[in-house]
Amino acid sequence: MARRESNVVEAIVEIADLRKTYGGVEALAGLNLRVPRGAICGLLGRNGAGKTTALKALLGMVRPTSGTVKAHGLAADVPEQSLEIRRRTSFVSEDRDLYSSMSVAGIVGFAAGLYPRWRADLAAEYLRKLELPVERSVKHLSRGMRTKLAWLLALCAGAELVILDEPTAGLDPVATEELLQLLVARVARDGVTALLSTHQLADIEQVADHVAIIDHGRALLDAPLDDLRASHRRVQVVFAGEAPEIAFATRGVVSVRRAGRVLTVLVRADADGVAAEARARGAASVDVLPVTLKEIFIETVAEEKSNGLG
Amino acid sequence: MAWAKAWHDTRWRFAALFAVLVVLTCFFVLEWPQVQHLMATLDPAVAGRALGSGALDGNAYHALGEQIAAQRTFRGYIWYQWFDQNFASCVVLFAALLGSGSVLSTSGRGLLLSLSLPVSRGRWLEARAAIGFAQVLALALVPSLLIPLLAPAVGESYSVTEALVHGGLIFVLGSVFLAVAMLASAIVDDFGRAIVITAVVALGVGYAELLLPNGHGLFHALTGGAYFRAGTLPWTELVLGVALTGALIYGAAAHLARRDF
Amino acid sequence: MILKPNPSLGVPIYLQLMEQVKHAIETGALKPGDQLPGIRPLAEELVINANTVAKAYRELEHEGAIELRHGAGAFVSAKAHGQKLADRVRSAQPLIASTVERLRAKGLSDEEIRRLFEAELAGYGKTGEQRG
Repeated sequence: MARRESNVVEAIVEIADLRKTYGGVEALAGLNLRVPRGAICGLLGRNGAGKTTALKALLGMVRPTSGTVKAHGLAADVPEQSLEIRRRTSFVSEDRDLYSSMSVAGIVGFAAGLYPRWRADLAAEYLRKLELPVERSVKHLSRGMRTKLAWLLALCAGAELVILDEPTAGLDPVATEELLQLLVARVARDGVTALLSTHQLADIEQVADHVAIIDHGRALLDAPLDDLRASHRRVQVVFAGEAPEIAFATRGVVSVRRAGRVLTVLVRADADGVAAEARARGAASVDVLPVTLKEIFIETVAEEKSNGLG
Repeated sequence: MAWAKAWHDTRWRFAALFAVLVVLTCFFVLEWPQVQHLMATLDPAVAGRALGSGALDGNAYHALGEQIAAQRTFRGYIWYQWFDQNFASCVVLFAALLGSGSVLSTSGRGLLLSLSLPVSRGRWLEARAAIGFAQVLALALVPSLLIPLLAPAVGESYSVTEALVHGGLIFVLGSVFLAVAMLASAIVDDFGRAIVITAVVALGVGYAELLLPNGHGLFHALTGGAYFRAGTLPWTELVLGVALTGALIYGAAAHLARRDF
Repeated sequence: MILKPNPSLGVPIYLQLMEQVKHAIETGALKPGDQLPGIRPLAEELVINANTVAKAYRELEHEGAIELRHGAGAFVSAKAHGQKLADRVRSAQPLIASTVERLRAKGLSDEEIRRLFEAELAGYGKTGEQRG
């Protein structure tokens, strides 16, 4: 559903050449990002890559230095439009920042009064499923429970776009699965779009259908996950003797690592071309293997660094 | 809902400060018999020496004499000791306490939540300001109205109108510093630092006003000295106070709107 | 019934799902006419993206293994199992024919050829590669 027959995919988030400088530090250096409607988009990047700044720009918390940032077709840097964006968008912050003196029931009631399309039916269901103690005050909740509460508020807001910043960090696998299931259900039933900024690659591989990799304030990759999986390959080349240094002519090589007799080449396209070149250089064996998202991420970022942009 | 949050964030503070003022007012009124006795025996010359200023010259001697004479009456005692000094200072300090701390969150938590909710920053500030003004009004008027209520208990009477006028003027004075505290909080976010900044500003204004001709300046005029002596209202300072309050709140809103979080 | 796909294999999840469904059809766990789980319920149960399930079902329909009936759901194709079997038998036919021809050309009788085949299938004969 991410790619339709028409060329123009409806993008719920459109960020173009976004730049943000905080007192001398360039947090965003021309970020481009489009998130298709109805997708679960994973936003990957090292710490300090600019992910949280980008999310904050979308929510109107920081003002861009230059560039455009739009959600639901509205400009996030215009206060009135940003207000409308926030009526249709909800957020789980990395610190699970909630009102510590309110009770669970209190904060749910508070949010319910502010979101025009609040889902009270879901709120009741989730309070039960997630076993949140309604009378307890937020400051007495464990981190895991605060996380669940933050998720509840975001998922019940009736928002078309849910933005989550490190939403499963610190959660045990059972709780993670529980929450991901709720997310998958919301997306499937109501066409909600989710933007998940996270280091948990396993979560992305499991539920995302779109991935963007950010580094040093710019997007290195922005593509459907299946496309990445289909096009990226690890070509493992073994030589009888010491592996030679090969400058592959084939385009689409992301990185080449040499260790003894083995050359490991990560390609983003045309694995066969690389395999052929390797054989032509006398490789004893050539294997074309699938790549995990972790390898794609690490190698893409590392290569960008060695290209002098690190 | 933003109003509910503003109230929720400051309610304990307000309750405590309100209780303190009510209790202080009661004590002040009920102490009158003892004070009256003390005042009867006070002589300006003795007072002057006791204050350490040695032999007083004409003006100071007369001013002190006037003060002591006035305080021999209940009305005078209430104005000089309570409205002009203790009560005004309390209201200014308490207004600062109520206005400090982030408009968007309680004790720093919930800041990002507030910003991500579909509520404009202006509305958060507006709600906090409205609740704040209402609270300062309560702090200024209710204890004041207690005085006519309690006066008969010490065998005196006090005009309700007078109580309302003094209370109302002090409300304006307090509002100015509520606004200063809110502007300080919009800039520094931290409760402690905002209070300190507001306190410094208050002290600064207080001292600067000593340079003004007697009876003028926010602190001097808005305690109602002119009304006490001659029944006239300090229109200049009233307008100035309201205008300042408005400007400070506007400044706070403007700063908040531009800030990055 | 359908196992959780492994996201970290590097193999797209939709392909894993397709393999599982096809395997289920081959082993008879899913028979022609059986209804497959709905896209949304299956996505929620496996905690994967509904688009992924939808893609797997679309590809399976494309291959003829299942039918997507609008409004009713996904069903195992009536001919799916039978189709594969028939295909396999048909594609095996020429191999058998050419082998028998060659053996006859070597002078073996039909009776001897039959005994050779039976012995081979029972595992007593020797062939180039043992098939597991």
